[in-house]
Amino acid sequence: VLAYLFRRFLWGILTLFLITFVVYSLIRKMPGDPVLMKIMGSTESTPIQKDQTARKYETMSKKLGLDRNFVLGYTQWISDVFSFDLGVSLVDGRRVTERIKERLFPTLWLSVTSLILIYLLSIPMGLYATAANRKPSERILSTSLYILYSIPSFVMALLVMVYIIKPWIHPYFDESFPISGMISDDYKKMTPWEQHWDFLKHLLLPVFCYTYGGLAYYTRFIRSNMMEVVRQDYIRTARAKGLSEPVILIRHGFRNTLIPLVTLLGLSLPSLVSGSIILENVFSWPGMGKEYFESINQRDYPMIMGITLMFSVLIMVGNLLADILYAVVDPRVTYH
Amino acid sequence: VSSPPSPSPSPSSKVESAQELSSSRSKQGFWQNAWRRYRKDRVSMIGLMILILMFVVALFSPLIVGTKPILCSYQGIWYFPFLGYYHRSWENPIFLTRDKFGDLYPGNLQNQPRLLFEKAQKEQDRLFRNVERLQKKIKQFEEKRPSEKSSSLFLENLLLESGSNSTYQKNVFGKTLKSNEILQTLDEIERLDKELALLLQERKKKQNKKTSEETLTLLLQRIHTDFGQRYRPLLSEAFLNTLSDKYKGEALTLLKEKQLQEIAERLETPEDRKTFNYLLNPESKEFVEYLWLKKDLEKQIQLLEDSKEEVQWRQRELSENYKNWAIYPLFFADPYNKIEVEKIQKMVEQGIIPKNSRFASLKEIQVNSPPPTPPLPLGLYQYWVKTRCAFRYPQWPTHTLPELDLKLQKEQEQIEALKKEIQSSQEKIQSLKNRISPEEKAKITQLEETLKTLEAQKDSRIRRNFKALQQHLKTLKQQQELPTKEILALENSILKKQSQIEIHQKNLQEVLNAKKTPQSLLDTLEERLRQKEEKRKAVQEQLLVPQEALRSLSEKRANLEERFKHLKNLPLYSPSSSSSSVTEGLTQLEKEMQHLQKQVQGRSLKEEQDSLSQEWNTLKQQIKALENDKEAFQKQFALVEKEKEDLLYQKEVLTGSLFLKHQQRLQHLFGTDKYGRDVFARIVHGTRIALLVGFVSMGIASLIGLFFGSIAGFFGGKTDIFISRLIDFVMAVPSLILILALMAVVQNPPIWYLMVVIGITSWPSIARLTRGEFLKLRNLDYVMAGKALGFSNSRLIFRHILPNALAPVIVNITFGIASAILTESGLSFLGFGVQEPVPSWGSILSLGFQSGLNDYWLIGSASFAIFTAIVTYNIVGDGLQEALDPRLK
Repeated sequence: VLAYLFRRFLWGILTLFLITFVVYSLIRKMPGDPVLMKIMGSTESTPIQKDQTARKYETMSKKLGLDRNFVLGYTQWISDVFSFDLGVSLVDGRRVTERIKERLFPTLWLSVTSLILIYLLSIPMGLYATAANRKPSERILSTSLYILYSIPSFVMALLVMVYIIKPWIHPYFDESFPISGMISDDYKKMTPWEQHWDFLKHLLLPVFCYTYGGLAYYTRFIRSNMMEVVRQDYIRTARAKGLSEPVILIRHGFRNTLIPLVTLLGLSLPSLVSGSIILENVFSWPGMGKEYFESINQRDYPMIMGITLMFSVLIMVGNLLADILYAVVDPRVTYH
Repeated sequence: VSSPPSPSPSPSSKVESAQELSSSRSKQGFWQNAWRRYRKDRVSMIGLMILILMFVVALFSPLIVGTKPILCSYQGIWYFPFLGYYHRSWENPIFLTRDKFGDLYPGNLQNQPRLLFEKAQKEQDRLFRNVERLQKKIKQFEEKRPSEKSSSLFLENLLLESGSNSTYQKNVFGKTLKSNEILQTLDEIERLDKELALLLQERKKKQNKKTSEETLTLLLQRIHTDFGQRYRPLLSEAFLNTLSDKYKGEALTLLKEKQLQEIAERLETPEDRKTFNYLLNPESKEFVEYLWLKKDLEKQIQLLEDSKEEVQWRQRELSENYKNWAIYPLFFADPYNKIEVEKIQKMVEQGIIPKNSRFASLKEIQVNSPPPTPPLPLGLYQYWVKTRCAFRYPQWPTHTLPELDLKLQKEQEQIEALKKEIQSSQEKIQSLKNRISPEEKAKITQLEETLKTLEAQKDSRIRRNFKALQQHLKTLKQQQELPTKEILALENSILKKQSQIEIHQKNLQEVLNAKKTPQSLLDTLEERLRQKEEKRKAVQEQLLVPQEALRSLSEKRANLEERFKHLKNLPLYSPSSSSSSVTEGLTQLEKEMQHLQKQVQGRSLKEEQDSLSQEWNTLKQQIKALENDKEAFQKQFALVEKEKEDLLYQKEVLTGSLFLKHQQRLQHLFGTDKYGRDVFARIVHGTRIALLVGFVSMGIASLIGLFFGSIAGFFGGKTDIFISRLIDFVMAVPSLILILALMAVVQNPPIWYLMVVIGITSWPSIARLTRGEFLKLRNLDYVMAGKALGFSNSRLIFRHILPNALAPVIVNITFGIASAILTESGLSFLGFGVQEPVPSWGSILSLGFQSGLNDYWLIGSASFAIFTAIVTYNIVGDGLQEALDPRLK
């Protein structure tokens, strides 16, 4: 097992190298010069200052490693990474690690809560759908889930904002469902209890928009898998034995659907992490997706690289966890 | 090395029955069976129908919305403009054609004919200027040269002399020409001589200048051309020798000029001309320059005429363009786009687009439309207006005032026209009456009398005359009758028209009557408005009085408060606290003394305080009452204002201005966006973009995925490991991050780039699926048989295994199209996808989002479109899955 993990780790490192190299070469090809943008932003260039700005440009680009071609720049960046230094943001001069640390937790709040919610809700719903197969209640449930699954999350967010919250809730209940940001403006003046409440209020809508699509998908997935399992012979045997229906479904049926479910977890991680880019922009949630979008617009190279690295590491870890869980759930699978 | 089993979406139990399936798949009826199974499911059939509908909408979106023709003719050739759709400025399709003048049309029909026309005009102007310049120069040269008269005189003399001179031949042949070869040409020269003589005679007869000039030049030419190069100088010399000294010089110059002309005409490049010019003496230089100038002028004039023709052709083409496709604007410009419409208006003003074309009347409304406007259902609005008004006024007029005014105008115009017609017919009658002159009448009476007399005499000869006379009389009478008939007809028509006028006048009166009620309503409304205004003013004035009172009272109150404070601060009792020093105690004592003295002098402090407090209470009450009054007044004021607003609204309804204002909104089914463009049109066109992006990007992805997957699955071993590593690698990158980075590399990315990017990032799932299928299928018997038969690998892969592995991949592709559409709209929403003038659902959404969520209709309509597309694709995909994999049900 350890050898497998080690090999896996090596592969992960290699893929990380590749990904970062590809993204680095891409962003160096982007139109627009961050150094020039920064200098022009700080000082307006007049004919007298021209020499000064040129000198400044040189020093700045040297400092950022942008004067060399992208292969050398990449080697420098990667050597910095090995000494746990992701560089300095071009926009405000803060350390990239610091900024990412700041932005990581909001994103994790969203994705992890929604993931937990998905698993908590979809399993009982899927089981119910199999138990109540072809009853009207099951029909309503699955069609509504189907419709929900077909609405993209950001479209759903906009629809909820425009057609429900803006006309029906904001006028009557003053700002009970804030539609942008993570905390209110007067967050610091509140008591800790109020602070938590405020954060929860802000969290509610994004988490809903995050969750419903996955929920619908997982429920459908569990239901279809269960339907296949239910037709198997051993279930019939269990029924013949006179076991109660819940016991059959959970202890005999559901256990066998765990394997594809765990696989799905590994597969859905990238979309869960990167799906945040649009939604975080809609809700102006200060997470990594919004940060990535902004840093691409500002050509903030170290920031883009740092976030890409972060995302890919997250996904790798998620995939690895899924594989390990796979072994845990299914005793037939062994890694050697 | 064993990697974890690759997670495939299909459950593992599939493997067992793969063999059975493959046998059924390899039969021809597999797809038919699948279709039969698919057809049974009603929901998926509905999904398929909606999908087909969407395709139809995408294909015929210009027909539905009317921004672009589906088929158009241009210069007699038919085009499909939607094929030029991928161009960034999507309104302008690209065609490459060569026109009559060899110009390539590299772009849109919108600008090119016009640009070319302008170019041709410029060229023509330039040529004009050139010709003028050259003509001026030539005039200058001609002024310098000897006048035509003198030269013609000289020619005459020359001819005379040469003709009469008998020594001509002797001189020529005796002196200089001895060789036999030249003697052979004697006949020729004789002939020439004869010709000369003949010409001379003619010349004498006709005195024609031109012929003489021509003959001389002809002669000289002959001398040069007919006798070959070698003898030319000799001949010309001999010819010159025949001439007297008087004309020798001029003939020499003529010869010289002839030679120069010959040489000069051969030289065309400026360098040759320069070198030649360098060799000459100044006189001949001038001459040669003159020649060249003339030549240039001829050329330029030719060019000018050509360009004139071209300009005419282009102009005609331009005008025909606009005539044939009143179109051009209607189809090629977005009629809901304010900028475009303004452009077209300018064209109408310039006369490029005829004023009576369909489009000329369209834009008046559009330009003034206020962007952005929400949609407004037509029937509902009318119902609302009418019920609301009818509720307040039972006798609410059915027509608005401007409508009635229009009717009135029409009636009046008709009456006037009828009156004019009557006048003209009356004039005609008079003229006809004038035609019947009294003389003719007298004639007739005379004739009748003679006839009567003739009747009395019964002679045969006279009888004949009598008949003739009778006929004459008949014709005369008929002639007279004709105008009278006309007169009668005209009078009848006049009567009819008068009756018509009466009808019209009745109508007019009806209209006037109808107008009375709204007019009176308007008048009363205005009066009431005036009254309200007065009332408002009165209320305001009334408000002023208590306000002043309030102010004075508040001043009083402030005074009192000050006094109160003062009183409160006054120490009633001396501070009892002991002081440390004696001096302080002394001063305190003195102060006490003073207070006591005051108390003794005036009333007691308490009394004063009581009175003050009483006063204070009364004041308070007064103030309260006043404030109540004020509130009441304000309420009244608000009421008056509200009533006024109502009245104003009614006035708007009555005058029709409100209706007109909303009529523009009714034309946009889904409202307009902030640039004034129709949202419905954009959504219908967006269907096209969405479907294109979905299909093309998934086409690219499936090409790549099928290729890699089949290779990996078929060969196995190292290629398999390499390709699965590649798949893992691409899957490990969050796709949106890669897409964003790729899209940011290009500035203003074109739409095909977006398709390629989505295709590149979404192939691994397809590749993985195909790889799995290939691993299953490659060990089956029929593949082995193929191998044994020695089929090539490509044949095995593409003709035998791939068709059997396609079924699950197709399902995946169907879902992939939905996700590609979703990605496209998401990217457009972020501003990284389709660029602005191209209508895309995502960009419509982002416009709605940027408006601060105020333009709800944008978000609603665009999200409806996105939802429909994705739902249909999901339904169709599910149906396909069930049809292709029958074990699930």
